[in-house]
Amino acid sequence: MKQQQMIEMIQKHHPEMTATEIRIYLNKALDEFCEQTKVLKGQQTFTTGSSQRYYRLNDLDGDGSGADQHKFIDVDRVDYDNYQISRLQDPPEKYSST
Amino acid sequence: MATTERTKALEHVWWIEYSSETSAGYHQPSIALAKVTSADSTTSFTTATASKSVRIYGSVYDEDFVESGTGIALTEEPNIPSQFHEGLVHYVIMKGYEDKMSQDPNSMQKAGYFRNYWNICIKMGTEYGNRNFDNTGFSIKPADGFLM
Repeated sequence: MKQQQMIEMIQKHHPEMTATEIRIYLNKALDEFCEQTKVLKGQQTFTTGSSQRYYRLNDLDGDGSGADQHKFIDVDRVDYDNYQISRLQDPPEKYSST
Repeated sequence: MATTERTKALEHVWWIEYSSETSAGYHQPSIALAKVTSADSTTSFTTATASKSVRIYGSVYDEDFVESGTGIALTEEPNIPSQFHEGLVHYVIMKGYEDKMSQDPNSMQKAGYFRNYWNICIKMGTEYGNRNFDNTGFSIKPADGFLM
Protein backbone atom coordinates (compact mmCIF):
# COMPACT_ATOMS: atom_id res chain seq x y z
CA MET A 1 0.00 0.00 0.00
CA LYS A 2 1.43 3.34 -1.04
CA GLN A 3 1.80 6.21 1.44
CA GLN A 4 -0.88 8.25 -0.34
CA GLN A 5 -3.35 5.35 -0.11
CA MET A 6 -2.63 4.99 3.62
CA ILE A 7 -3.29 8.68 4.18
CA GLU A 8 -6.60 8.46 2.29
CA MET A 9 -7.73 5.42 4.30
CA ILE A 10 -6.93 7.18 7.56
CA GLN A 11 -8.68 10.38 6.51
CA LYS A 12 -11.90 8.40 5.94
CA HIS A 13 -11.96 7.92 9.73
CA HIS A 14 -10.29 11.19 10.67
CA PRO A 15 -10.88 13.83 7.97
CA GLU A 16 -9.52 16.54 10.29
CA MET A 17 -6.05 14.94 10.46
CA THR A 18 -3.46 16.56 8.23
CA ALA A 19 -1.03 14.57 6.08
CA THR A 20 1.87 15.82 8.23
CA GLU A 21 0.19 14.61 11.42
CA ILE A 22 -0.58 11.25 9.79
CA ARG A 23 3.04 10.89 8.65
CA ILE A 24 4.29 11.45 12.22
CA TYR A 25 2.08 8.61 13.47
CA LEU A 26 2.88 6.38 10.46
CA ASN A 27 6.60 6.75 11.15
CA LYS A 28 6.03 5.96 14.82
CA ALA A 29 4.04 2.86 13.84
CA LEU A 30 6.69 1.75 11.37
CA ASP A 31 9.52 2.16 13.90
CA GLU A 32 7.57 0.33 16.58
CA PHE A 33 6.68 -2.47 14.18
CA CYS A 34 10.31 -2.93 13.06
CA GLU A 35 11.60 -2.82 16.65
CA GLN A 36 9.15 -5.37 17.98
CA THR A 37 9.07 -7.80 15.07
CA LYS A 38 12.63 -7.42 13.71
CA VAL A 39 11.12 -8.32 10.40
CA LEU A 40 13.53 -6.23 8.32
CA LYS A 41 17.10 -7.40 7.99
CA GLY A 42 19.82 -5.36 6.39
CA GLN A 43 23.54 -5.12 5.90
CA GLN A 44 25.97 -2.25 5.69
CA THR A 45 29.56 -2.17 4.54
CA PHE A 46 32.30 0.21 5.60
CA THR A 47 36.09 0.32 5.54
CA THR A 48 38.26 0.27 8.65
CA GLY A 49 40.21 3.42 9.41
CA SER A 50 43.72 3.70 10.78
CA SER A 51 44.01 3.81 14.58
CA GLN A 52 40.25 3.61 14.96
CA ARG A 53 38.49 1.15 17.24
CA TYR A 54 34.95 2.53 17.42
CA TYR A 55 32.48 3.16 14.61
CA ARG A 56 29.09 4.68 15.35
CA LEU A 57 26.51 2.08 14.50
CA ASN A 58 24.25 4.56 12.76
CA ASP A 59 27.04 6.49 11.03
CA LEU A 60 29.53 3.80 10.11
CA ASP A 61 31.29 5.79 7.43
CA GLY A 62 31.74 8.69 9.87
CA ASP A 63 30.46 11.37 7.52
CA GLY A 64 28.18 12.82 10.21
CA SER A 65 25.01 11.70 8.48
CA GLY A 66 23.01 8.56 9.20
CA ALA A 67 20.72 9.16 6.23
CA ASP A 68 23.01 7.29 3.83
CA GLN A 69 22.78 3.93 5.58
CA HIS A 70 20.45 1.53 7.40
CA LYS A 71 19.44 2.40 10.95
CA PHE A 72 20.33 -0.70 12.98
CA ILE A 73 18.19 -2.12 15.77
CA ASP A 74 20.69 -4.84 16.60
CA VAL A 75 23.66 -6.65 15.07
CA ASP A 76 23.57 -10.38 14.25
CA ARG A 77 26.85 -10.88 12.51
CA VAL A 78 30.01 -9.05 11.44
CA ASP A 79 32.29 -9.98 8.55
CA TYR A 80 35.83 -8.65 8.46
CA ASP A 81 37.63 -8.93 5.15
CA ASN A 82 34.82 -11.30 4.05
CA TYR A 83 35.25 -13.70 7.00
CA GLN A 84 32.71 -13.95 9.78
CA ILE A 85 34.37 -12.91 13.05
CA SER A 86 33.46 -13.61 16.67
CA ARG A 87 31.69 -11.30 19.07
CA LEU A 88 33.64 -10.54 22.23
CA GLN A 89 31.40 -11.27 25.20
CA ASP A 90 32.93 -8.65 27.51
CA PRO A 91 34.71 -5.50 26.31
CA PRO A 92 38.42 -5.27 27.20
CA GLU A 93 39.09 -4.06 30.74
CA LYS A 94 41.28 -1.19 29.59
CA TYR A 95 39.75 1.52 27.42
CA SER A 96 41.47 2.47 24.22
CA SER A 97 40.16 4.47 21.30
CA THR A 98 42.54 2.74 18.91
CA MET B 1 47.52 -17.37 0.62
CA ALA B 2 43.84 -17.85 1.32
CA THR B 3 44.64 -19.56 4.61
CA THR B 4 46.75 -16.61 5.71
CA GLU B 5 43.98 -14.19 4.83
CA ARG B 6 41.51 -16.27 6.78
CA THR B 7 43.80 -16.61 9.78
CA LYS B 8 44.43 -12.87 9.88
CA ALA B 9 40.74 -12.05 9.57
CA LEU B 10 39.73 -14.47 12.31
CA GLU B 11 42.12 -12.80 14.75
CA HIS B 12 39.61 -9.95 14.90
CA VAL B 13 36.66 -9.57 17.24
CA TRP B 14 33.72 -7.17 17.52
CA TRP B 15 31.50 -5.91 20.29
CA ILE B 16 28.96 -3.17 20.93
CA GLU B 17 29.55 -0.34 23.38
CA TYR B 18 27.58 2.69 24.49
CA SER B 19 30.32 4.42 26.41
CA SER B 20 33.02 4.52 23.77
CA GLU B 21 32.98 8.26 23.26
CA THR B 22 35.32 10.36 25.32
CA SER B 23 33.45 13.62 24.67
CA ALA B 24 30.60 14.74 26.91
CA GLY B 25 27.06 14.29 25.69
CA TYR B 26 24.71 11.51 24.85
CA HIS B 27 26.24 8.21 23.92
CA GLN B 28 25.15 6.35 20.85
CA PRO B 29 25.86 2.68 20.26
CA SER B 30 29.17 2.01 18.54
CA ILE B 31 30.62 -1.12 17.10
CA ALA B 32 34.17 -1.81 18.20
CA LEU B 33 36.69 -3.84 16.23
CA ALA B 34 40.01 -5.08 17.51
CA LYS B 35 42.69 -7.56 16.74
CA VAL B 36 43.17 -9.91 19.64
CA THR B 37 46.28 -11.86 20.55
CA SER B 38 46.66 -14.19 23.49
CA ALA B 39 49.80 -15.50 25.13
CA ASP B 40 49.70 -17.49 28.34
CA SER B 41 47.69 -15.39 30.81
CA THR B 42 47.62 -12.12 28.86
CA THR B 43 45.33 -10.99 26.10
CA SER B 44 45.99 -7.83 24.15
CA PHE B 45 43.64 -5.88 21.93
CA THR B 46 45.20 -3.80 19.20
CA THR B 47 43.83 -1.76 16.31
CA ALA B 48 42.13 -3.71 13.55
CA THR B 49 44.07 -3.63 10.32
CA ALA B 50 43.10 -0.52 8.35
CA SER B 51 41.51 -0.34 4.88
CA LYS B 52 39.69 -3.64 5.24
CA SER B 53 36.07 -4.16 4.36
CA VAL B 54 33.64 -4.76 7.24
CA ARG B 55 30.09 -5.91 6.65
CA ILE B 56 27.49 -5.69 9.41
CA TYR B 57 24.27 -7.72 9.34
CA GLY B 58 21.31 -7.11 11.59
CA SER B 59 17.75 -6.00 12.16
CA VAL B 60 17.09 -2.55 10.78
CA TYR B 61 14.44 0.14 10.83
CA ASP B 62 12.56 0.96 7.67
CA GLU B 63 12.99 4.31 5.96
CA ASP B 64 10.78 7.21 7.09
CA PHE B 65 7.61 8.29 5.34
CA VAL B 66 8.31 11.69 3.77
CA GLU B 67 6.39 14.22 1.75
CA SER B 68 9.40 14.63 -0.55
CA GLY B 69 13.11 13.85 -0.47
CA THR B 70 14.88 10.74 0.84
CA GLY B 71 12.54 8.14 2.30
CA ILE B 72 9.19 6.58 1.45
CA ALA B 73 7.55 9.09 -0.89
CA LEU B 74 3.80 9.49 -1.41
CA THR B 75 3.79 7.05 -4.33
CA GLU B 76 6.04 4.48 -2.63
CA GLU B 77 5.41 1.60 -0.24
CA PRO B 78 7.28 0.77 2.96
CA ASN B 79 9.79 -2.09 2.78
CA ILE B 80 8.06 -4.26 5.38
CA PRO B 81 6.03 -7.14 3.84
CA SER B 82 2.79 -5.94 2.26
CA GLN B 83 0.51 -7.93 4.58
CA PHE B 84 1.51 -5.61 7.43
CA HIS B 85 0.88 -2.30 5.64
CA GLU B 86 -2.73 -2.16 6.80
CA GLY B 87 -1.53 -2.57 10.39
CA LEU B 88 0.23 0.80 10.15
CA VAL B 89 -3.06 2.36 9.05
CA HIS B 90 -4.86 0.77 12.01
CA TYR B 91 -2.27 2.24 14.39
CA VAL B 92 -2.86 5.78 13.11
CA ILE B 93 -6.66 5.37 13.17
CA MET B 94 -6.32 4.19 16.79
CA LYS B 95 -4.21 7.23 17.65
CA GLY B 96 -6.79 9.48 16.00
CA TYR B 97 -9.55 8.07 18.19
CA GLU B 98 -7.38 8.30 21.30
CA ASP B 99 -6.88 12.00 20.61
CA LYS B 100 -10.68 12.47 20.46
CA MET B 101 -11.45 10.74 23.74
CA SER B 102 -12.11 13.97 25.62
CA GLN B 103 -14.70 15.05 23.05
CA ASP B 104 -16.39 11.75 22.20
CA PRO B 105 -16.90 9.04 24.82
CA ASN B 106 -17.35 6.39 22.10
CA SER B 107 -13.82 7.05 20.88
CA MET B 108 -12.37 4.89 23.62
CA GLN B 109 -14.21 1.84 22.31
CA LYS B 110 -13.23 2.61 18.72
CA ALA B 111 -9.59 3.09 19.75
CA GLY B 112 -9.71 -0.30 21.50
CA TYR B 113 -11.09 -1.93 18.36
CA PHE B 114 -8.18 -0.67 16.23
CA ARG B 115 -5.63 -1.34 19.00
CA ASN B 116 -6.70 -4.97 18.82
CA TYR B 117 -5.97 -5.05 15.08
CA TRP B 118 -2.60 -3.38 15.68
CA ASN B 119 -1.68 -5.94 18.36
CA ILE B 120 -2.61 -8.78 15.99
CA CYS B 121 -0.40 -7.19 13.33
CA ILE B 122 2.56 -7.06 15.76
CA LYS B 123 1.97 -10.68 16.77
CA MET B 124 1.85 -11.85 13.15
CA GLY B 125 4.90 -9.73 12.34
CA THR B 126 6.85 -11.29 15.21
CA GLU B 127 5.98 -14.76 13.94
CA TYR B 128 7.02 -13.73 10.44
CA GLY B 129 10.29 -12.23 11.75
CA ASN B 130 11.13 -15.46 13.58
CA ARG B 131 10.67 -17.62 10.49
CA ASN B 132 13.90 -18.97 9.15
CA PHE B 133 12.52 -19.78 5.69
CA ASP B 134 13.73 -23.34 6.07
CA ASN B 135 10.99 -25.93 5.95
CA THR B 136 13.20 -29.01 6.04
CA GLY B 137 12.51 -31.28 8.95
CA PHE B 138 14.87 -33.15 11.23
CA SER B 139 14.65 -36.55 12.82
CA ILE B 140 15.83 -37.87 16.14
CA LYS B 141 17.45 -41.25 15.90
CA PRO B 142 16.04 -43.54 18.62
CA ALA B 143 18.55 -44.74 21.17
CA ASP B 144 18.01 -47.32 23.87
CA GLY B 145 19.80 -47.25 27.19
CA PHE B 146 22.59 -44.83 26.31
CA LEU B 147 21.14 -41.87 28.19
CA MET B 148 21.11 -43.55 31.61
